[in-house]
Amino acid sequence: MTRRGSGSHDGLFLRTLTALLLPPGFRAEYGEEIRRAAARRADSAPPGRRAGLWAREVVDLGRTGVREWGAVLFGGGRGARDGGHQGREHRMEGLMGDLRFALRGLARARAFTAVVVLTLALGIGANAAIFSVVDAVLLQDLPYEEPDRIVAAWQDVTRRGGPAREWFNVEDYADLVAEPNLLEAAAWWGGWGPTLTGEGAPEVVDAAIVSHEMLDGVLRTRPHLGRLFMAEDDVPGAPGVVVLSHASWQRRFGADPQIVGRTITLQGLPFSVVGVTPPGFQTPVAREAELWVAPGFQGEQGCGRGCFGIRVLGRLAPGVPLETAAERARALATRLEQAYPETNTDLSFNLVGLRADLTRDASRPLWVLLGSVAFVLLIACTNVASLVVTRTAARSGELAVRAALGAGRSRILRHLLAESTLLAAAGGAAGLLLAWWGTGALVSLAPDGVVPRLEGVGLDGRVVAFAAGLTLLTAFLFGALPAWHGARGGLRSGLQAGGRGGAGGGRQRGRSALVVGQVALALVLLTGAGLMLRSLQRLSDAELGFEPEGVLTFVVSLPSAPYADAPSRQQFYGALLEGIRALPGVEGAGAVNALPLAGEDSDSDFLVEGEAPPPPGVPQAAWVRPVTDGYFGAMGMERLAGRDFGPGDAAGAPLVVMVNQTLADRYYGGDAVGRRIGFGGPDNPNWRTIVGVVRDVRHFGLREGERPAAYFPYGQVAFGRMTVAVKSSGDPETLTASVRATLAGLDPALAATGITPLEDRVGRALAPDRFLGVLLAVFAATALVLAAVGLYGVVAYGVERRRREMGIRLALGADGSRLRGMVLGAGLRLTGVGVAVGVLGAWFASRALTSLLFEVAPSDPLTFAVTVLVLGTTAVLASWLPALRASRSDPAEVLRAE
Amino acid sequence: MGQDTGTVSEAVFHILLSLMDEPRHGYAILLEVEERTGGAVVLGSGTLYSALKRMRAAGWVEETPDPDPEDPRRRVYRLAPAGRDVVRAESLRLEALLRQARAKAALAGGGEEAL
Repeated sequence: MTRRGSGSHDGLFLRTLTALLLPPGFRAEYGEEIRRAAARRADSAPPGRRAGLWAREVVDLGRTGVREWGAVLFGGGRGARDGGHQGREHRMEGLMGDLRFALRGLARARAFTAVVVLTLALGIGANAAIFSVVDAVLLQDLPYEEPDRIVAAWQDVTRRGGPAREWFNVEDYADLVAEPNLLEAAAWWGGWGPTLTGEGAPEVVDAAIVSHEMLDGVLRTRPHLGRLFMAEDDVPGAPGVVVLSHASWQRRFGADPQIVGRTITLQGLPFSVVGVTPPGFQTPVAREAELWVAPGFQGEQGCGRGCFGIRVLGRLAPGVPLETAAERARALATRLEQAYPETNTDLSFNLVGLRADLTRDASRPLWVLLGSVAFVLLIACTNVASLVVTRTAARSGELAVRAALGAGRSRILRHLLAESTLLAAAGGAAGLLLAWWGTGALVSLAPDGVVPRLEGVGLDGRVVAFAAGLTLLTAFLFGALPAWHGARGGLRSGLQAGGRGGAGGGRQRGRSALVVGQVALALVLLTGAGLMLRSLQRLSDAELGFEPEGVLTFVVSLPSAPYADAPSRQQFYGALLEGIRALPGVEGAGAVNALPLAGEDSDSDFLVEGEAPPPPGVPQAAWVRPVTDGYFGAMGMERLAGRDFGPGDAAGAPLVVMVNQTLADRYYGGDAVGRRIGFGGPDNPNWRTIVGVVRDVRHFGLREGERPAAYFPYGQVAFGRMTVAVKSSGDPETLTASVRATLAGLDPALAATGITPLEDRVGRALAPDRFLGVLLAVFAATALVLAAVGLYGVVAYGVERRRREMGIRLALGADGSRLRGMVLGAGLRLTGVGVAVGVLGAWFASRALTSLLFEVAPSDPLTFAVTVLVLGTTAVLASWLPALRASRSDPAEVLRAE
Repeated sequence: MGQDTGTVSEAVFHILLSLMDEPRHGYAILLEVEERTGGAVVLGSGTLYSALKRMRAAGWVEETPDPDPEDPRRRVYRLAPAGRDVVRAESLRLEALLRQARAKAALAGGGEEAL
């Protein structure tokens, strides 16, 4: 039978569960069979029943775990006759009895129950919430047929010092597609934002240009209406054809059943609608796209080998694993290097599984978060275990009496386990409620468009199963150890101590060890959060190279129909900017093709006059940025040398250019003004004189230093799609309406899109780091509070145990402050050991953050010092209260109580 | 197993019944039980293998040396003579129980429908 490709994570889930729940012997013998049967059953069920079946299997595994561990711990015990959960006849009564008894006991100890349930709910809820995000984003299958066969193909230029995921070009793509036994289907794509006219007010729509195999070949969808694309639609010069998404067909075209064959106008060009995709279908790339067009309408596609113009998805040939395919692609790239040395030297191909490709930036932060909440849960379990030990100790008299009356050790153990199971179940249920709320909060907190696939996040059967598994695990973690203690040690010491509720020193040592562990875990979390916050601060302080305050930005995309030539475009933008500058509250305005932090740009190779062209494979390219006059002023970009562009830098005038600091420093030794640069290739360099040098800007993100860039006067290089930046004297958003009106006054067929204050763009660039930093800080704070409570509990308990001794000491004239010091010292000794262990742990754990940190070392001494200080102060406070109580014991009262 | 007298659990009984017709692998037992009882009894995989382990230890079922032709990695179980005896004894016991219950119900005037 063919398992879905997803076997890996369902399998992982089951593997984890069986590893956690079943004793090793039984697991070795039957684990594999159990996992296979469970997965097979869930797979064969209709999707609606799957979650229920999973939940049932998880519960059943829990029961089996209890039974099998019981057999291991207490000997074979039961025979073959009641191997199953339906051995009700004589077992149910015992189990129900245990549960009833436990329920009564817990109802009596209300405060204890409330604290335990709340602590567990917090831990389980946070874990379930983060898991729901991890599951939806990283684990669940993409909604396509055999999604594990879909790959993204990239050009790998790491040997040139470039990225491993660079775009493709049509020429190399053709070779990749032609390679036998590699891809069954492949398609290339590019984003597009055309203006849709003739259907109400003009509007810019999200679209994508996709070659014909994308929809049916790679993604394997079928048309809901009409057809998808065909090979002839890709042929340069073919008539424009468009496929609508189901949602857009309904929303924009009223679900018109006659839509196929209609012609719509995009960017001033006619496109005939050939089909509609099924409901819910979306391409995994360009995920906002409302419609897809075939590339034929654009004319010639190739930009030549060595150019990076298209992005590629493919479907692996049947039976070819990703590693093999990647190997074949690399081998092909090596052959192309030899065949085309001048363009393909040091260029390789890189195939990445689509899911990994889509989630690459999100995966590490999410795993870090899941690891952190797991720590919080561990700390919570430790606190609860500590509480349960105390309670068991307090009840050792009762337990001893029950044992004396004939209750076997296993009976008492079962009773104690029943209690912890009930507590865990209540905690788990409350935790799911918290998770339900928390998931919503997480999704709304998550930065826009940075965490992919967020729309799938929610509480489903898998999250519930995860929470259920976690609940069982916590019941075991915080219940088993104390129960073992209670069933064994408690019996003897309980009676010996006359049922006074005293506890052996061994138990106190056990609790101390728990506290040391807690402090260590809390320190690790605090350090992680501290590092992320420091990094966030560094990022916020990063030199942008421009001043975002008060700047409003928006995109205008001129269709080729009335704006075919440069003069018409220059005239349009001249008029637009003039109109905007005349608006009240506007201090300046200008336009550029690609704004900093907008995530777009295009580059071009260049030559330095007087120097030989670089050898093949050595890149020498600069970002190409046409700017209108007023742009640098509106953006607050500082000019470091030379002059700004002026009205004289027009078509026909001497060709000029401004460069950024990086280009000037790297290629002209810092002295660029007056020298010349050519963007036209060796045969016709088209030399331009550098007239000025501008400060670098953070263009592709706050972390990335700028690469060489050149600014061209709009009078000489006129793009149709420009982003306008308007500097206002007040709140930039108040300008929105008047800017729109100015645009409509010039050309009613045009729409302004992406109207955003520039500060929002900067905020968005910080958002992923802020998301991670804030969540880590919340988890760390929770961990700190829990650890403080744990420490307080242990110290206070120690004081309680020695009250008699302290009372006598005080009566004999001991100094209260010395007693205080003694108690405080005990607390701080535990903290000290915990800190030592924690610093060591944090030293290793923070390595996982390395790639996420900006200008902060994972072993940043300041962060470590502050963390230790915060933890130390908290520890002093947590120990101070019981110390105070100890020194104030009234000797008479203590002795009376004896 | 000294205490092999008296009742067997429902799960164990269903597994034994399932193996009456022919040897089966674990997953096939799950399906057969579910199908035969019209979905009223759904065994969990953990329960199944935990029970099989005990039943093997008791000598009621044994593993066949022939692997499943469909998937050779999977183990196949068949009923041992001792298991057959258990089914027979348990059936007799249940029959007797049912007889007594029917008699009581009839005496109470409820007729068989009252069951």
